[in-house]
Amino acid sequence: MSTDRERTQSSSSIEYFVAGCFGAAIAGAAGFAASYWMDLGIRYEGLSAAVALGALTLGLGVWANTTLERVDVVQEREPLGSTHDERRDVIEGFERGERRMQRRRLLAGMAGSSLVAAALAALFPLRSLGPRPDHELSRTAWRRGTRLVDDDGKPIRPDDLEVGTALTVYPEGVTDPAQRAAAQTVLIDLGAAATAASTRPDWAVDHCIAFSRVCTHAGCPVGVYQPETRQLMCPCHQSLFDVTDGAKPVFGPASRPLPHLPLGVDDDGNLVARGDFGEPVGPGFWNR
Amino acid sequence: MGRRTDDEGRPRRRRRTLSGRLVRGIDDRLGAASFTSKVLGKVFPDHFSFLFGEVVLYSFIVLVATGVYLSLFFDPSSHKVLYHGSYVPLQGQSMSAAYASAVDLSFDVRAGLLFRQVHHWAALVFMAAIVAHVARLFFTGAFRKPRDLNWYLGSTLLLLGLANGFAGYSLLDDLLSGTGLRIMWSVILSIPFVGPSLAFFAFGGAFPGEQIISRLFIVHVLIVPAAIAAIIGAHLAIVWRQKHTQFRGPRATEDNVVGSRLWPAYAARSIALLFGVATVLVLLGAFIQINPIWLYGPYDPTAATTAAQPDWYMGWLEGALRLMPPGHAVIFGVTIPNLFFPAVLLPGVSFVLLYAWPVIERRITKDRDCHNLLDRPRDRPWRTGLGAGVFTFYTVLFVAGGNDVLASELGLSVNAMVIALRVILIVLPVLVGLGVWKWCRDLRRADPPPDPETDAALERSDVPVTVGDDTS
Amino acid sequence: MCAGGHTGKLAAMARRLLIGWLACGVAVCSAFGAAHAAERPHDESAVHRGAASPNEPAGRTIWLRDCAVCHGADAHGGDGGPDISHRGAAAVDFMVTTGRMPLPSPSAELERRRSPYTEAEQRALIGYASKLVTGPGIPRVDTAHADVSRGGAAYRQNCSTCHQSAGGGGALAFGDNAPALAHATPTQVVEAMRIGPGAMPTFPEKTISPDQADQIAAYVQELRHPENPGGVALGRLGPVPEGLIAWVFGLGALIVVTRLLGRLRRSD
Repeated sequence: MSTDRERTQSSSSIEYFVAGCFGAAIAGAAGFAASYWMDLGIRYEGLSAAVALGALTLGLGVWANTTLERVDVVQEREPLGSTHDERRDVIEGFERGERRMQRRRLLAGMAGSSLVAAALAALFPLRSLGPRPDHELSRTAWRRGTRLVDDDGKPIRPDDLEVGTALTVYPEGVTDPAQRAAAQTVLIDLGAAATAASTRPDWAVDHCIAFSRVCTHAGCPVGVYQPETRQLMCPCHQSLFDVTDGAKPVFGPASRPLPHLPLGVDDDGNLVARGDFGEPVGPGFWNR
Repeated sequence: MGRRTDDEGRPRRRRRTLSGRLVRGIDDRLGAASFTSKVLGKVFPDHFSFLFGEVVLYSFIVLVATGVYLSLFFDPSSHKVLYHGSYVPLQGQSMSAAYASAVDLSFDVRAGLLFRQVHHWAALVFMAAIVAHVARLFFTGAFRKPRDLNWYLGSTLLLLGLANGFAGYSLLDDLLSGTGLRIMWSVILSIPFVGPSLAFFAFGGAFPGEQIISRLFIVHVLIVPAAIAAIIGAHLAIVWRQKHTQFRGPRATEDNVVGSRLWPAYAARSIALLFGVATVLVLLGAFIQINPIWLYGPYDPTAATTAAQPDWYMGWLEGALRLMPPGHAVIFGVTIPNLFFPAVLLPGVSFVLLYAWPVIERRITKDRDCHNLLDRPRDRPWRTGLGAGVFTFYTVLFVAGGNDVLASELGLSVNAMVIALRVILIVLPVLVGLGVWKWCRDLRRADPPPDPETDAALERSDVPVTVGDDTS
Repeated sequence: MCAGGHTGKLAAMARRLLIGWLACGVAVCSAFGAAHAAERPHDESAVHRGAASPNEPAGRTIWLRDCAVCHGADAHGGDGGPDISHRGAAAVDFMVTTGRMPLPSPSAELERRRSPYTEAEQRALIGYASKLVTGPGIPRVDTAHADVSRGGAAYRQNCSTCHQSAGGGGALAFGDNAPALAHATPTQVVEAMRIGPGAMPTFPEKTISPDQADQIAAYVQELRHPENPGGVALGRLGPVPEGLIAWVFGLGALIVVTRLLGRLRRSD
């Protein structure tokens, strides 16, 4: 046990320390104001703010844990529950009111029904939040004869691609972001393997084959094409689709192949779609 | 008006101090003096782990403070604009006003980036502190009656925190968070019967739509924070009313609280913690870059990036999505897509179990008493083991959520990792649970729980003890 | 309890906790840094490996010594090596300047390495081998006048899905990797687009025009020298390292703070 003199000395040195902390906090606050005013940037602004806040933490913390009272206090807990009599009073009071209401059964019943009806009616305006899901889930903007265009709107010819190219294409003339998002397609040049790869042989043209780019797992764009293995990989959850086998999933959580876009060539030699995808694009839903 | 004479009939002297005037003024209007003296004298136990909840609270305060500032600059609109701010690599690019305003905040609003980064770090730390707090409650049995009520409120806060975090970082409409919104759309879509309708209602049409950003904004700055604030209020009021739990120790019993009084020591310590939380968050926000949206670019449903993860607290869902084996169910003609199981069923079951845990434990232990004393984790080996196993399960899911980053950094095959993690997910939680259970039992044998008779013998102490009268 | 002893205990505890927590944080950061450094390619400055005699056609010598054994003397393929006769001078230049070729062993990964050749040797080899092959020539890339902002948009449309938004690289299927772009020169960027090395698809001129290619190359240069106004970039890998830091430095620091403010044991 230290002497009183030692205790006073150490306690006064603690006081100086705490006072110093608060002084540093004032300096930090001034520093923050200055660094903001002079536009010194995030590093100085943050550091000065942290100095101010940290000094406050240290000052208050040391003060609380040393010179402010640090003795144990014992306080009794009152039992949390009320007495049996008090509970009985509450229950009886409630039931008394209930009985008065139930004397007029009809009124009580109608009161309840009208509240329920009001609550249900209040839910109806939620319908304005959005339209009903319609064909947008099952169909895209691709139609028979729609030309394939790249991101800049330029039509594509089969010879524009080389073996190992995977190009993102869209239906010509579609600008609505939601429709572009649904209709996005990956056009792949497979070389001689293309015709064998298509589950419908007449849906590939020359050496080109096209699939929906919307992953059938959770809708991310399937943007990774690996020509060595002829597989498309979705970067989100690593689903892998075998392009030579109708884009069937071979790894990962995706359970359905990527829908296939039937391709053709128009009179000018540009690639066109011969109809919409063979099935709804994107992730599944209950009545797909 | 207060009494002019005291109990012996002598005239009272009016205090001239500021506190005297303040107390008199408020008491004249509210009659709050006696309540206030109980407040000032209330005793709180002092264990450091009891402060985790306060860390959550103070992170929330930092979130609100920085968030209000950010909301004064952020433009929650999907309307397309051309960027003309000072970040050169985005000059002239078309983007939503929301994204443009976020980039402006980062580069062209003084201290804007500091506020953005502090806000985002605060969100990550807020959720981490909730996990630490829940773990402390679980492993010490603090959720038992009468505090099961607060457990339900707290589970709701966890859920709301998750929702608000997701809404918050999705507001910025950048490529990374937009990809997450796309996945969320698909998740909603996968719900049988109501999925497509809910998705179209929530987004105001087909994905992406023009409404989602402004709707998320209202959810993020108004609806959920108001709910969180209200529930925090109830949460704290209940803690106040029930008084805090405490560990067994000398003088600590089921019927008392041993610690320090609110005024001045506990209050000072608490405020110190508030500043401490703010300090750490400001240091993070000033020195460590987070969510550099200018690198991700504006969201475009036709673009993607690898290493696409949500913020850490959603990582368990992301991991579940990645580890889920392929396959979907068709029941009576209704398709239940693959996504439904890890993204709807798993979190649904997880949260039901989380909420129901106090009920479940009551059924198992048949213990319906009120408890004010905490267990040491080793005192309930089965609960601690179970908790450790469950914790391991979710940790493996978190690791799986970052599997492509780990594969890329460590030079492993991401496919091999997926297969390995599927096995680890089933096996490791069981091993860890059993191991921790055994460890607890061994610890108990070596160090038995405190004995009331021994405690009485330890009553003598050279720490001055005062017994307080509490009627609050 | 005397106040002096109390602060002594506090200080000791604080020291221990701070050291432990800092060690934890350093360990996490080192792990990430080490993984990155391991991945980061070696310095491109070449190492001398015996200068060729100035009178010999140096390129031919190197070709016959190091390349023909796999690719054949005429580049039409040989013992275990593919036919590269149609890959073009762009492929030769790309493979040699990035050090991918020569492979240290036949089973080695195709990845960026420190080239065993000097710059002069590289030039000689490329000059010779380019005459053996047909196909895409070495592109002329001009990034000085390229619109870096358009390049960014094109990068995000075509490249980030494998190479990541910040050029940090990413995992492909079955152990393959889209490499980080930290050391890619503009010429190498465009060459890679045209030839599609390794697991990479090809981006011919009809799909990405020379102007667009310049823009993408300019943007990749931008990514090599990032601004990072927010501070330590954590590899720019996104939420994974950010989450780790939030736990170690965020919650970890705060647990230290609560330990200092609250009590250590149940019965102090």
